[in-house]
Amino acid sequence: MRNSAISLKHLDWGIIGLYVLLVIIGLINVNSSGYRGEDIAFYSLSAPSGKQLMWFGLSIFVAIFILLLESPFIKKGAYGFYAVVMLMLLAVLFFPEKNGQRSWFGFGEYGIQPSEFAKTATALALAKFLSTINIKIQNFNDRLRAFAIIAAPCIFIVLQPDPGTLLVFCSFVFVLYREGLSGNILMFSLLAIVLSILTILVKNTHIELPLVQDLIQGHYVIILVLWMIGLLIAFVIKNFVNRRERKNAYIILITGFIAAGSFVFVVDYSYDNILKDHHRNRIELFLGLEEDPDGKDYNRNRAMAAVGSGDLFGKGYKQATLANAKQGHVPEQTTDFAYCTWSEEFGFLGSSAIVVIFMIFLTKIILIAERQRSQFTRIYAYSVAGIFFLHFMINIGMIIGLAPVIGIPLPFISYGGSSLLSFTILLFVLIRLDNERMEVLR
Amino acid sequence: MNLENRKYVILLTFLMVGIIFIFRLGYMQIVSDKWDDRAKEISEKTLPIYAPRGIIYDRNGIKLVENQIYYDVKVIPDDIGKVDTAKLCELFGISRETFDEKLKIARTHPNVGYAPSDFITQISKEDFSTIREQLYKYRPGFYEVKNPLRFYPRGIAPHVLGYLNEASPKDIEADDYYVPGEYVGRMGIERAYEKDLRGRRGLSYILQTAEGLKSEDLNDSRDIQPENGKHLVCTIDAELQEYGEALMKNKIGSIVAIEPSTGEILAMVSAPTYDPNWIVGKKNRNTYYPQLLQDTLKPLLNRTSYSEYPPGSIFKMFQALVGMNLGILTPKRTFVCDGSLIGDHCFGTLDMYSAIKCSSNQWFYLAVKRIIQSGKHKSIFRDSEYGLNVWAAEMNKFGLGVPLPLEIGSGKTGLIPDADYYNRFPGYYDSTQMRPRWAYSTIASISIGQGEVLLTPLQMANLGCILANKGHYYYPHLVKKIGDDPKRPIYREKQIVSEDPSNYDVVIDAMRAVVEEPGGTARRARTKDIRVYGKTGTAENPHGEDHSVFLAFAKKDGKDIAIAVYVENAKWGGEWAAPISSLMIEKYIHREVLDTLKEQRILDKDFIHPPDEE
Repeated sequence: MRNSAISLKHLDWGIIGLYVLLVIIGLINVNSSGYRGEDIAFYSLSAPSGKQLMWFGLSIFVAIFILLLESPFIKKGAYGFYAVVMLMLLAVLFFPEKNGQRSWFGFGEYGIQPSEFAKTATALALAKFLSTINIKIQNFNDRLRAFAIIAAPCIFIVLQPDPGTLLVFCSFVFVLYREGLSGNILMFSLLAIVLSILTILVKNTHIELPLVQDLIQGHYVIILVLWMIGLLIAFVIKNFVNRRERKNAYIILITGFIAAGSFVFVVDYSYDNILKDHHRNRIELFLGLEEDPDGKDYNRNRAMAAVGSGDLFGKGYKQATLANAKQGHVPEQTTDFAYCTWSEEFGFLGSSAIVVIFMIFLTKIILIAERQRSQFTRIYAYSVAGIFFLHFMINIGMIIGLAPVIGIPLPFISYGGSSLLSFTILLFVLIRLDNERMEVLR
Repeated sequence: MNLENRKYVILLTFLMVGIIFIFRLGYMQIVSDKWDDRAKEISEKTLPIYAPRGIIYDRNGIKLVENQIYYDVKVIPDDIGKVDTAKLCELFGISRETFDEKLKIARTHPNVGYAPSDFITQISKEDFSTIREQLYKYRPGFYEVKNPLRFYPRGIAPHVLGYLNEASPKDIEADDYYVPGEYVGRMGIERAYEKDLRGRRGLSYILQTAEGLKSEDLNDSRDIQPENGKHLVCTIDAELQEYGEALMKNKIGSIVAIEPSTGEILAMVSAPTYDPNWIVGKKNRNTYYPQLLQDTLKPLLNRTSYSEYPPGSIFKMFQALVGMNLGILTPKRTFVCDGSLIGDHCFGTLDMYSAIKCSSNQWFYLAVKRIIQSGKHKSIFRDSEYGLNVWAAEMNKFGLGVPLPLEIGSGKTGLIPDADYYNRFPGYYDSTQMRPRWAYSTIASISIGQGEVLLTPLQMANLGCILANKGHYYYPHLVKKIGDDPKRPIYREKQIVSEDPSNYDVVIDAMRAVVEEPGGTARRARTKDIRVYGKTGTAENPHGEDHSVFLAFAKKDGKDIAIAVYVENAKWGGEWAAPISSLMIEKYIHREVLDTLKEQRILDKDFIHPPDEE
């Protein structure tokens, strides 16, 4: 057995530096977003910044602990860790509700959400599974099992229910794609999203068509448009595709048309019957089908006003007029909407700096992933990149009005001990695994 | 298949999202103003800055009305949190039940739990100082708001000064300056000089919290500084007014004293009166205003200009003046007075001087007949019609039967009947012959100030000015200085009544005799070291005891005063109205009253609460 102790020389100080930078930005920001106008020391435990600082301390301790682990232990323990977290996800369903979710093991003011750790556990289990010899994602059975590993925690999370975290699990599509999942799936997903949005946009409109007496309901219009596109493609096939492949092309076209048409009806039905009112509201507000800036759209409207009023340089530290606890216009300004405070106080320079830092951070993780000789580490690294990316995209997207309101934190910036700790673990497991890139083959 | 290239797809996806975000941020933060405006809309609001209302001083610089800060404690039920309710109740001196009641009201329509409502209003500065020390314990659920209200240090002249009231929806519609809760001058000087007194409130931009509470001042360049209300100098002499109100206690009637050389009203007493402090603020007004309104003695009525009375014998002097102005009478004109035509109390062949001095009825019956039936027409009916109109026009010059443009409202015009007035009486006009069916004899009682003739006490006092000035007057008024500006121009214009002042000598001489000579009806008006010119009147009152009237003027040491006193149901003018006048004159000129015996007699008299001897 090779020496598996940590090597400081091979430790990636760059990614650690980015981590510390983001956490410090988060600390500076929470000191302002949680500001109530009174004079409380930064480190005071009664201030959110003090609590976050304490969690940072704990995170460093955990990070060092992870770095001291032997990486074969991590790899071997992947399934075990996964199993433990699944049990926690099951157990948490029997704990009392908080904010309408059963996702929280509470100890008074402090608490832990097992779903935060489920991301790490799933990433590890997936890495373990996909890096096993003879497992190929191109094989249908293996693919099914990989999906099952991702789906299991999702089922528990649906039961909590926690749509935000559920969405994060979509990020595993990136790693599956990197490991050989057909790119068509990505294309289909994109098409599906576009088609869903179109369906929702027109579903309640009635359109008058020439030659037809009755008004036509929205989703039939989409079918009609699909039909016309289909005819156009058929025309192209007839004239430009060579005779031998023509039959295949027709089959694909007809299957695609039927699939798209049914999908439209499925979306229409699910939207009306499966989604809850408040989900529908959020989607309609996001798509601009409804305007209610002081009512249902209160959060998003306040958040966008806070960000948008930041100008180039911002209003100055602790000078937010909307997004701090004292002013209270932006709700959840310390947690999910923490980015509002930062953007309002440091303007375009500050807000785009965070975007740039995250871009560097994500690029760095992909670079780390690609330099691995170990398939396990590479798979894990892509999972990590995907998870951070999805958090980043949904959180900031929601705040600047490019995504509907979904409550997930911005990694390292949002206030919350459980979230900081779990992101730290997620990242430092990668840093530990990366440390052995020179030695390990698998 | 080379999967390694897929890293570029993933990396590009990430970077695309980042770039889209940066463009979106740039658009929202730098390019578009939409969110900037929206942020201001959400986080800013304007608060009015109170402009102190102008103070009203008397002619000698004594404060009649000033502003006093009171405190209203507001409650926001949702913000109360954990407080010691028992201690809170003790602090405000209310019971637990009252507390619960107030909170229930605060929580229900139109208030809601998160909006502030009145908890306790109108706490005086002194009371609040003890509350303030404890109030911090109950924040933010309970907090104070300054509420400046009017305060009347002397508690006098409510009818003159008027009062404030919260703006009604009608006020707000009429003048967009007003907002709900704003105070508006309702009566008297407060209403007449509202625009000068109110000043202009300022506007300050503040930062508000999501709950709509102020978090800090913005000290913005958009702020508008308030403009303080102008101070007014009133023509009233506070000492004299106060003294007059004391003398009129337990009596019904009026005193109006005017400085003849300027028309400035020195005192305007309407009795019974009330302390204007009683109806300051919502709480007090809700208690006392209905009481005052229901009082059968009508203390809210300003009798000096809103009550009309028959003037009685004081009117005779003006019959004489009208006769002389028209060239119909001369001072030497004599009539034989034997009491044969009208009830009388002095007899013989009298000239004008004697007729005024002894207040002859028959002399004036005959003299006014010469004025009204002057012989212009053969028919006595047509002649009377013509003569009465000439007479009425002449009387109008004395400010009678026409409105006097007083700032606080002209009040009633009184009544100087003209021909049309009588022609409208049923059966008084012959429409076939187009002539009246009445002649002088029908209406003769107007000659002695009875019958249809009615005057307000203000008009009577103004007559005193005309006598003192020998033929001119200034419209009586109440404000001599508005901030740094002089009184309104209309009050600086001399109103000419008679071109020839010499006509007045005989009347004034007779007035002196009325007071000073033995047998004069106003011996009680004699005043030490001051020559008082006066004329008594006793106005017949068909509804009860006669009214006591006295009209006088005096000049000494560069001070001049004309005064009319009208005491309802007090019988002889010489008995009550005359001594009250002389006390007022003495008070004004000497600043103190030496004749305490006379003073005491008046103070003790009670016409309202009849003694229960029977």
